[in-house]
Amino acid sequence: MGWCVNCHRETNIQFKDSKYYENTFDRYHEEIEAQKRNGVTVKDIGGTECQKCHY
Amino acid sequence: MGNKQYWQSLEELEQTPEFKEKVSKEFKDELPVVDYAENLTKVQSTGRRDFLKMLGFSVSAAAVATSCRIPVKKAIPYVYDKNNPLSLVPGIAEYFASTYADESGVQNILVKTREGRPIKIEANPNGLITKSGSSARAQASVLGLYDHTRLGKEELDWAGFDREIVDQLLSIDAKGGKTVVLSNTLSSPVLSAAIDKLKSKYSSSVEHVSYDAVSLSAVRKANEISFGNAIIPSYNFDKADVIVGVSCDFLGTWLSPVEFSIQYGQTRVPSEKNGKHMSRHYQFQSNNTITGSAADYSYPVKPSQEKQLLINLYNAIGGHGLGSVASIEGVDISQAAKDLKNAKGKALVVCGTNDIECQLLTNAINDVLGSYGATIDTGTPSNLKQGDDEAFLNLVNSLGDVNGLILLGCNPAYNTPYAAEFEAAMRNMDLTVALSDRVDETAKFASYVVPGRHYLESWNILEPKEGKFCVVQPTINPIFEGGTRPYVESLLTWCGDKTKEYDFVKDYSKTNLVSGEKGWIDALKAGGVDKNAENTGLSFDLSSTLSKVSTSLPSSSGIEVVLYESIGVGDGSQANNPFVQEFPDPISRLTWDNYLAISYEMAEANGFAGRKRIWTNNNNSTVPTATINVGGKSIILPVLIQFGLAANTVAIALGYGRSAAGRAAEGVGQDVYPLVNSLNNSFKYSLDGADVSFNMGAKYPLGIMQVYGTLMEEYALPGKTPKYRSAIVKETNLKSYKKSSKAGNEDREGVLHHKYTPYGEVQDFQGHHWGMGVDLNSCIGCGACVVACNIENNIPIVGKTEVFRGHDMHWMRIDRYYSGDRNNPAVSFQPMMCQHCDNAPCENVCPVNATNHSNEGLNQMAYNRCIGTRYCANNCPYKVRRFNWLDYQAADMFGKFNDNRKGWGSKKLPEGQTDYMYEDLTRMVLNPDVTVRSRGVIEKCSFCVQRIQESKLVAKNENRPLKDGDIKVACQTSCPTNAISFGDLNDEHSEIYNLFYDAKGSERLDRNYHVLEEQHFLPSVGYQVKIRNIEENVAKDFA
Repeated sequence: MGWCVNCHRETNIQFKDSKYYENTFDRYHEEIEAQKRNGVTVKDIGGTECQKCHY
Repeated sequence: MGNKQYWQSLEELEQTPEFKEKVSKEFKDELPVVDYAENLTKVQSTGRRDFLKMLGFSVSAAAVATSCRIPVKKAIPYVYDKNNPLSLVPGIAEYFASTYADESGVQNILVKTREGRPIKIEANPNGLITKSGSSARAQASVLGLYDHTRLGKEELDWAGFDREIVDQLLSIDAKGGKTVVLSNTLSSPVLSAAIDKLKSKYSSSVEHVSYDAVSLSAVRKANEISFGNAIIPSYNFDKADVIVGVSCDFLGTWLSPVEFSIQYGQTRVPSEKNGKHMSRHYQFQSNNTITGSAADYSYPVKPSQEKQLLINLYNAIGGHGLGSVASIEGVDISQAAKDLKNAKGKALVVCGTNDIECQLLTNAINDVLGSYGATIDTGTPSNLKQGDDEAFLNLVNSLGDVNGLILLGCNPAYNTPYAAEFEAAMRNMDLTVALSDRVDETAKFASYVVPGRHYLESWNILEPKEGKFCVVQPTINPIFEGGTRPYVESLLTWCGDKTKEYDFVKDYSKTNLVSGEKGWIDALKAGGVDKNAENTGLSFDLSSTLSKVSTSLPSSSGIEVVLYESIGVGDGSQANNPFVQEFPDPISRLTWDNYLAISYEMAEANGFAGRKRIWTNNNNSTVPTATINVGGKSIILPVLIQFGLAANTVAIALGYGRSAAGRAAEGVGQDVYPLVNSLNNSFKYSLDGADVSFNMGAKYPLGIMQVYGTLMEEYALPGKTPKYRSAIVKETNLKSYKKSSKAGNEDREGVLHHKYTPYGEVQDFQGHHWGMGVDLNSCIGCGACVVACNIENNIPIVGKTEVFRGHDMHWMRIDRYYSGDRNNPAVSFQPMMCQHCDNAPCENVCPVNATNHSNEGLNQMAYNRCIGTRYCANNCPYKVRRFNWLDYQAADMFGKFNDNRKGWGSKKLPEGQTDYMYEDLTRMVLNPDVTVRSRGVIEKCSFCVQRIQESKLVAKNENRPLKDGDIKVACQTSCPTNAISFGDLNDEHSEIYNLFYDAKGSERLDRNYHVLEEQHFLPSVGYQVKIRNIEENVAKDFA
């Protein structure tokens, strides 16, 4: 579990300059705006859930 | 909903104690845990200590298993050429436009291939005939490619036997003999051209005869009388406001059902947008079909009464020139006639009976109603069902004069009643050649069997309608290349022409259809070429039509028998496809068998029904058999009570009882083609004078998928008053819906305020929140989605024995509910899959968190975590969770523990043989995106999470938001009527959002509802209230 999942916990995704995330995850956008949050990790968007990778 | 009673089975209707007990359980059989424990540890109950003992057993069993030899894995490296965009990209699917054809018409498809192998059939949105959806058989057809019982594994001495065949053809020609090329409908100008070449090569001796197992030649003959041209016209159900079907299953099996379903679906959904308009459909039928179930009014009519009905209808709509006949007792046609008259120019009457007089009457009715040129287009004739019964019967009568017989992919010794005639004659012929993919019932009498290829490895052009040319292109290299040869190449070779299939098809296209190489490539990309000639319609001759119709009615005695095609198996030509066999019949919900369907009335008269003597498709029980003597034949079949059958009528499905089709088909059901007979040189699929004797002592096991899928409602619990499914199926009539959009769904407002929940705060879905909508008005119950789901998600085929034990693995089922009059009930279909509840009762009972909720609202499964407690299945109110009782797909090579495993069908697997999915070739059909689940884990609908993730990744890589419609789940794409929608509930512009919420963002109170909503599970699947276009109140009391 270490390999993939740990990386998912620690790695920031390209959240700000992606058109994909523009209209989603409003709360994260607000938190970044309010400087409550530095970035969004893979885990924050559900990247540690089993079925995100294993179908 | 008043007190309308819904029921799925006779047990439920009669509320037997056994039913009440079983409905509260998830699994139809008792859990075998205690038995196991008794045998192993001699304990009487399963307490905590015993559980630990058994846990010890499981661990040691696993240790034994892992010490088995590890199977050899075959690794093939990818060679990826980035300079060639058409080369294989690992992990990326490629789609090819092609065309699927079977006895139920032609469908335009896209073939999804992964790493060079076809794995799934999708609809071609640019199709010339069908633009959405497909049939269950088309979905299943991809497995036929990997059927290892096909011929061709051995390299053949082609030159050797080609020489022998040519010598024989020449000698027959020289002595003035006759060679017959016999085929089913080809609809292929390419094959016809090859046959023409053969004819001109052996000018005096070759002739071509085509026939269809289930024929419509009477339609062509009737049209020859009415229009002077033996055509089948194009039907436009989408242009009809009033549709009348007479024994015509046009949504299931008749002529071109997928095309018709698409058209029909467009007229059946009233909404604010279309002014709450919907067509009205009357169905008169002897056997209950999905078409009759979709109809607003359906009436059981015996086969012998069809002509009488049509004469009455003709006279009632104001037709002249025919005498009158008595009306049919119990069948009131006045309302249908009134509606038809009021809808002149927008009416359509279709009759499915292969009888010239019935078809002439239908023509006359359509003429009076002004249907020609409006709902029926005689200017664009259909090339389907070209079989000529008269020519075929002439051939059968003169088989002794035939010297050579070339069977072009047809099987007359099985799918006609003339097996004995063909066998005898073929033994005496100079030359008998069967072009076939297997040594089937006819090919086994042939001197030469020339193996052909599957349509997914072939080139062809099909012209299902005049001017609509559809291309069939291969999506894989021939699997058995040296041992098989395309039919067209065989025919050409025997003309001395060495042209290859590809060149022949391409040359044909370039000469007749497209200009230049670009035109050809464009045709391949689009899947066809439209050369519609826009012919003007033919003119109708009423006096010739009526001159061939007499008012004398057919006599009928005893019990009448109807022979019909089932939606799954069809005419039986694909019976060796186990997906087709395990596909439950939409009405009877039966798999792996055909049966004698008897009406409730007949059952009661023979002492079957009634609270005391109940039997039927009971859980863990068996049914009696019946011996039916008719037409000099005697057949023994299991008996099933089928609501909605005409009185004194029994129905039997064709297409079963194959004796030489491969392991999946053999021994499944009984062959009733011998009962097909002929009248006025047309095949007749009904008989009278049958004698049925019941053998009550027989115990025949039937694999029915239904009763154990009964949704739990309060009434199933002890001490509760029955509530009759008001929270499951919601229905109303058009009148009420016009008055109020909330009709049928009035209770929803109250339910929404009833916010009791034992669960905590509902999760916040920040990113996506997936939801699905199912429109019960569009759903016709055809079941294409079920097979599409099976193929997409690697769902195992378990075989009859396992279905009988309630171990079917279908992630998606279509629940069928009856309501109303038990002799002629209304039928409702409800597709049921995991509802992805946001308050899911299954999730919190999992001791190992193997099933949990995703941040996108999916109820997800981690198969590796699942230890098989089945607590989740036990707690699922929708009964959609499936448990892998055995290792059905060789997921972990635990096959040796499948000790009591029976084969598909009812036979035990022969020594040394395994299930198909244990064969390397069959496994090529598996979707590499989806895990093959192992024994001992639970599985269920995942909302096609592999498709969701793929579309998300594509959008991210393309740096764009995910658009509504980017993700299409497997069931959705296979639906001809677009009954299923899927999307993001967080996207205000999505279709699904607008189905669930109004402009203000609050829950819609019109048609949308959730099943068992009052329990507050917060399902992500919404259903749209079913609206019937009937005058009566749907909430009428149960009679």
